[in-house]
Amino acid sequence: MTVPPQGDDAAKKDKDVPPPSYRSLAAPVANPVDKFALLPAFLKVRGLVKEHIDSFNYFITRGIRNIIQANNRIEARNDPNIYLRYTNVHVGTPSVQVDYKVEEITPHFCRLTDRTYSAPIKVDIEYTVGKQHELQFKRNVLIGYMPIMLRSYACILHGKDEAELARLGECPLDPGGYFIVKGTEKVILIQEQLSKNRIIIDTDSKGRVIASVTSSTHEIKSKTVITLDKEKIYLQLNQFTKPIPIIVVMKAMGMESDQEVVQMVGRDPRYGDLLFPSIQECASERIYTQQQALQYMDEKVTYPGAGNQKEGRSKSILRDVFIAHVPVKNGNFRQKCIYTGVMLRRMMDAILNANTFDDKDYVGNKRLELSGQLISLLFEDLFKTMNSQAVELMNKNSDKTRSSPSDFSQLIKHESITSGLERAISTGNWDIKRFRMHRKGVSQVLSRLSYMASLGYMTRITPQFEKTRKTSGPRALQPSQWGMLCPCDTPEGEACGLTKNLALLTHVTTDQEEGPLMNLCKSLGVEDLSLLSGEEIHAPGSFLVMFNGLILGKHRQPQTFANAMRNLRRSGKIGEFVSIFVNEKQHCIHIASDGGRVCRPLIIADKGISRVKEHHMKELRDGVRSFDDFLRDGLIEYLDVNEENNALIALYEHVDQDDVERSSITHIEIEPLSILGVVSGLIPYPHHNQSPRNTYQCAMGKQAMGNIAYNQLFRADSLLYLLVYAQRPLLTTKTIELVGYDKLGAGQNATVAVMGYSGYDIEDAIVMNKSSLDRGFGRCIAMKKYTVIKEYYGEGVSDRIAKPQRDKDGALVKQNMRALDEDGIAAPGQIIRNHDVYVNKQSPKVIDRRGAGAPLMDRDYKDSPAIYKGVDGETTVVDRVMLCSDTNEKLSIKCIIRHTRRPEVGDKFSSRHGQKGVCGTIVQQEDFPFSERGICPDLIMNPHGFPSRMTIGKMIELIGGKAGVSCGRFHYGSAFGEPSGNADKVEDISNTLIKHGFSYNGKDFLYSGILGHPLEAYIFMGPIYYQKLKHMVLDKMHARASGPRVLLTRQPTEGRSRDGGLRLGEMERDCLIAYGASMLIFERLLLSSDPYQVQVCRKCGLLGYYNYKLKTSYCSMCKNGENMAKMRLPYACKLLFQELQSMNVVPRLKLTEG
Amino acid sequence: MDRPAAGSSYQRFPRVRIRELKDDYAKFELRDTDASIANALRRVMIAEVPTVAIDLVEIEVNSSVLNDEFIAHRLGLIPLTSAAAMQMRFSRDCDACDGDGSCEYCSVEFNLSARATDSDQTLEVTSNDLRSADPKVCPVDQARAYQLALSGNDYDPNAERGILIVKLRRGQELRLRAIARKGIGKDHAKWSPAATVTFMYEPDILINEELMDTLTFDEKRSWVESSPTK
Repeated sequence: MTVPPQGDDAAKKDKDVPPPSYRSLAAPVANPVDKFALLPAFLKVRGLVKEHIDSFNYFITRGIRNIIQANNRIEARNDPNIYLRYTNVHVGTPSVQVDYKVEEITPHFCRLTDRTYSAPIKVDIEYTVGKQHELQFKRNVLIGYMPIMLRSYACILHGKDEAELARLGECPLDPGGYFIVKGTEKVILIQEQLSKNRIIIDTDSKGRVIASVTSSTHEIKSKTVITLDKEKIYLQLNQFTKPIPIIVVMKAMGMESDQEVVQMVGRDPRYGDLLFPSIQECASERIYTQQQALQYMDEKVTYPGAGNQKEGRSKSILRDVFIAHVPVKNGNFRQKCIYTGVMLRRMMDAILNANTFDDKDYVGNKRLELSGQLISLLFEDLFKTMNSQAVELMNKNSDKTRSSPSDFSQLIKHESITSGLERAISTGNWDIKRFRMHRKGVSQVLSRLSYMASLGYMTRITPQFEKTRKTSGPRALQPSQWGMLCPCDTPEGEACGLTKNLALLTHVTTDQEEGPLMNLCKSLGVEDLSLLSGEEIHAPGSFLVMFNGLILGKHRQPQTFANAMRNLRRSGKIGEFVSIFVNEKQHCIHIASDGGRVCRPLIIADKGISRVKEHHMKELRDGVRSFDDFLRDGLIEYLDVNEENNALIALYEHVDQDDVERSSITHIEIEPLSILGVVSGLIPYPHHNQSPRNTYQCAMGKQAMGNIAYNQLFRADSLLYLLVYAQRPLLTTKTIELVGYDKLGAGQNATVAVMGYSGYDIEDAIVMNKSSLDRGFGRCIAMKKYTVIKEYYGEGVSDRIAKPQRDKDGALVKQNMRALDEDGIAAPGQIIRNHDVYVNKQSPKVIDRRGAGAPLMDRDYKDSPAIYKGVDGETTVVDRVMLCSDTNEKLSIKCIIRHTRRPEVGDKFSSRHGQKGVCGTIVQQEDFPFSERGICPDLIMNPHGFPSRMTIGKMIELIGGKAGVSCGRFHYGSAFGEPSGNADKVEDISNTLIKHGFSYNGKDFLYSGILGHPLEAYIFMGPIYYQKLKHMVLDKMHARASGPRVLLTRQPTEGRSRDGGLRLGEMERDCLIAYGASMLIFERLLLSSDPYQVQVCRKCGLLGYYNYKLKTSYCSMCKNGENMAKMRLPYACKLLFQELQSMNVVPRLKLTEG
Repeated sequence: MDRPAAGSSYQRFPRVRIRELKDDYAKFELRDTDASIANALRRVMIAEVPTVAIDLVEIEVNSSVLNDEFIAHRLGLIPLTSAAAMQMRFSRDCDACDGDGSCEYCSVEFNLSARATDSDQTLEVTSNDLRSADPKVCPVDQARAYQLALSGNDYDPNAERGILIVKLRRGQELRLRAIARKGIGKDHAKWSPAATVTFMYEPDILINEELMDTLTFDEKRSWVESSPTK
């Protein structure tokens, strides 16, 4: 790529304007339009998590209405005149009902009081009452509470400005898009799945060519597979025990003539050849008519018996299950026949020409299921359950009392929807009976470890299939995910490449109404299928028009049709997310308006010339034009992955590429940095790094401590890490500014010297300057929430909080109550140490007090205090104490305990380039190297970190940061930003450095701090943004000499939290055996673990006991005390023997003299 | 410098010439010695010159947005005038108070009391709000303001805004008692008297006059122009 000299050209043009020639017109535009401003405009309109919010908005405004309308009437079984009809539905504002009073609630209130942020779903109904079936109407009937997504239309935060949000206790930078259920923030992750209702040609595990369609309608989900097995084609459906020859299926659907079948597939003799064996097989079975075919199929049905006996099982399967999304109108199977024909044709195409196979990993074949869709599935199920329950109750009532049939409005119970929705979101288990769907982990707790972590959660996409598969295909980077899914942000390990993240500008579509679009297609010249013969359908030059997977008809001029549709879209006559994709290979035009497609905005270019001109951008900057105006004026449009294949997208308008005809460019990228996601967007110069390093940083950026939200100090997270002096990175990117990371940073700019020092910096360890730590570098606050619930046992019996006991001088009786206030709860601001009491709770000794009349006295209570378990020698402080009543109306006391920590040896730090390291040692400032200007680094990093990692971006960050501090301007390092000026070039940075008296290469002349002599090399030194990661030694260090044991086995406990022992495991044991240190093994495995003295009877070999009174051993088996021997064995061994004995297995010990 | 004769002492007589001396800046020449002495001086200046800094903070009321430790840490880093530090005792070996560090010989008490009352403006609590019990020890910018006020010439009380400790919103309050103690930079950077200390070798430039004569006037001029220190 070459950038033309800009200033000169413009100046020349002003002087004398030459007549336009072909050359001058084809020449690159001299002044490129600065399109960057579109990005913030886009994000302003759509927000960072627009797809979640859009999807939920769609559900509460339209989706819920469609569901109610589809199931709007319920009637009694024995008398259809008793009925209830839903006429309208709406979701109210979030509120809670307290003692018959409705109170509006705010999200923050819900977070603090462990409530669910939900709004009532209200319906208008008409129903019949009494024997005369009088029609009655009722408005605003509650059918349940719906958890509300924050910042959606139903949320009170919708459309609020910063000041109003602050008043509601909300952080303006918080993107919303999650739910609050029982006080915890839950995200419904984006689910990725193969697109529904589309033909996928693939090979199965045995290498057979298959065409499969997963049909999905409101009623049913089914999978139809057509396989080519031994040159014959079969249909596979779960409802049939055996594969059915496809010709039989065609005949069963009424296409009895073989010629017609062949015509449906196509007249090319090659198709005929491939179809011949199947036709022959059908003939050999002597199936010639529809009747015979259906009879043949009836025998193969999996569960014969139930079902529609009149028309035959197989016919109803063909109608309702086989490619279920293709409608059968009035028993006319023609549409299904044509669809099957197209499936066969696609299959044969794939056999004849291997490159027409579909790629399952292709993003265009994927659909993303968002929270709105998931909740709508769940809601429909719950709504139907509620209705059927009402019908059942009605039936039961009318069976019992014939006299007065009750009315339906009394039988609608709102608890089932409320609890069903709440349970699903809080557990993440999505159980939908209709589709036999049981999904786990659909919703997850929103991580509030850092701002980036929570943003990362909102853009995460989880895969549907299991993670254990070793296949590399779905894990690999797909070319089609360019601009849609972030190429960097994926976890390492088992979910690598399967869990993905959305890119910055990606939008996920919601469903759009199909009817008008279909009509539009028809009026644009799509010929209806029912009028066409098989011959005409596949006539050369005509293209099939597929609309959301359905065959709509055919069109003779595909390009004209596609252009017409696109022009309608650009002018806003049809939805902006409708995609029109001409597939030349398949001779198809795919029109899609379904939900879950990923798409992104692009600037439209006419023959390579951008429609967005400088004056448009000026209007945008002046605030008279918004992003939506760009859309409306047809300057920008959304393309989905499929339609991108019909486009030629240039990065920059003014940049020529050698092998691309300029006039064939149809679109221009808004900004190249938008191919990255939110989390990878904070890496400076990511395009200079080795790719895995960016991936590592994406994982680590989520563990970095910093500021979480503006309301972080008022939140009640169970664990909160904050950085005391969080800074904004010196070397920023445009993404950082867009997402607000500059306002909620998670790191500090440290002056780093790249050199070896002291030997405590090997293996990525870093050496830290003690004075820097004294001044607050890396200092963090850890806040932990401890909840105590004042239990209520019924009948006035409950726990109580007692004030600390004092003697007559007023001194505390127990020293560990020093943190307590007079109300028995720790006082905010008090220093609290290990083993101190923070809530002095007392419980009644006897819980069941039925019949006992007298009130509880002091002696009826026993102490059950909440004791703080901290680290000895650390000073922790009670930050806040919050009292509230939880959902069960019990008093819950939340104490938040704060601990300020300074970095220590072993704490983990990382730069933004996947270069993590632990603090190796902390060195006095005077021992640190220093420059002639007096600059002394904050930390020293070993240069061996560079050659193998190849993180050039970090080096550029260093010199860019250095130039930044010396000239006083934040430098930029956006991805691929050099040509557009969104990243500073190294050359410019070097010039800045020279201007401020530094070496152009960022190296400094340093003196040794210990000896005072100049170091023998120039040292690469400058500021790098360092993150402190959540892994700290203090939380992990553990050692024990002796300590608690497990009750059952008498072996040491396990784990740090239980002060457990350190296990000498199997491998360590192997080493000791190999070495021959048998006594050491003996000591470790027996003496240091669970030694036990037993009495063994030498005769019967069983364990006896020792009678301490008589001072003799006794064998209870032999009934005497002779032949007893003492021995030591592990208690676990003794336990095993006894357990075996309890199962009638007799373990006998045979002793010999040792 | 004359070399000592064989057998005589290696004792040298370093000389110091002060080039520049301001309240917050000093620059001097050190001669007749080597880099190790210069470095020793540097190390001592950073780490071993005793100063006074706030070491213990008792917070009575703190309803600000910053937590107690945060404020205590910020207070500690405020530079105090430490001319009296040499007369003070280290708290750890003070007999007057048995080392608990709260007597007049080893400590100075500070008080701070601030409350944002009316107005929608935030109140900035700075080092100027610290009230010292001992006039000899106070935040350096207070001392400078005092001196400027004494000298009387063009003293602008708004110029010395002090070091910001915390900003208070209406209704928030901060009231505390702080004890400043003597200490050295080795223990904590807050007792380090210097922001930074560095040295460099003075370059000894010898000009080859003979070669210089071969240059033209323009070349000489550009040679002079190329001086980095110009």
